[in-house]
Amino acid sequence: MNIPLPQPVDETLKRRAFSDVVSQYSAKLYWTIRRIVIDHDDANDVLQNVFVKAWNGIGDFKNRSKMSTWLYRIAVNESLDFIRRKKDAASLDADGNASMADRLMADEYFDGDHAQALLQAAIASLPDVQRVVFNLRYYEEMKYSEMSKLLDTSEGALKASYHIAVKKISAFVKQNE
Amino acid sequence: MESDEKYIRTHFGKEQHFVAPDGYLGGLANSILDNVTAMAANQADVPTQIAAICSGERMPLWQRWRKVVAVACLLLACGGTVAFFTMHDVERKVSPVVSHNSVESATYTYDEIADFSMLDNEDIYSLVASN
Repeated sequence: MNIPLPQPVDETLKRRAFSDVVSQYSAKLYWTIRRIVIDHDDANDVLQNVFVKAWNGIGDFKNRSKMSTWLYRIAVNESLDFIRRKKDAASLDADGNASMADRLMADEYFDGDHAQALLQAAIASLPDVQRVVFNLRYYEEMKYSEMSKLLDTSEGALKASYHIAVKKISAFVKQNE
Repeated sequence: MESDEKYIRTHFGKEQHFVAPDGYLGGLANSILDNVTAMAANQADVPTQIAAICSGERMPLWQRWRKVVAVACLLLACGGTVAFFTMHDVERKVSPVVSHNSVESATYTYDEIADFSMLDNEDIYSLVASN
């Protein structure tokens, strides 16, 4: 015998709780995603997908981690999936990355100067996960312990990854200045 | 690394230079909720149990395992029945075959010995030569 779920009550509570989650985390997640995928429209698409997945999976969230860690993990994974799908020549070689800097300068939703655009091109030239590590550590000042839970990687590996990322970025901008 | 990171911080800082369209962030939460609501509404036609799985809600434990246990019991019963009858048949068939073969092989051995012992050297030599 199938026992019907008390849907109206559960559903209302679920929506209310989810609305609070969206209000609290949507902006933060947008910027995290934006720094990874660069383009605003892409960031918006990824963010919408993140919350659809969160809605579908919220029943599986068992408080084994913080809500923020869980959401960030979905956001980072969705962002990585997105950039892997959308690999273009601009993120693969130095010449491409230099033209990426030009594209950013022409982007109405980027208000930095050429140097800032060059920095973003340098970050975009990194391997995908390394790019995420750099963004989370440099811009969001995330602790390695938190990042370790987020990316399911050891703190040592993350520190090494960040160290390498910094060296590469520094070399890139000096070469292209 | 300190010098590289210091170089990056000094030259570029940590200021955000990506910009969101006007009004985007203000209406972000509502647009997400509208999108999720529309998605959830599309799932409304799905039967109750499937919708519960999709939305992450779970059936009671006994309901989930009921069918698995039933199938396992059925397989066990069938397997046990087959095993019982197979072993019973093997026992019946093995014993006469083994005993029959034992008698036959014993007779064959004695016959061989008898035949062999009656051969003289001439016979053995001719046998070897012909082989």
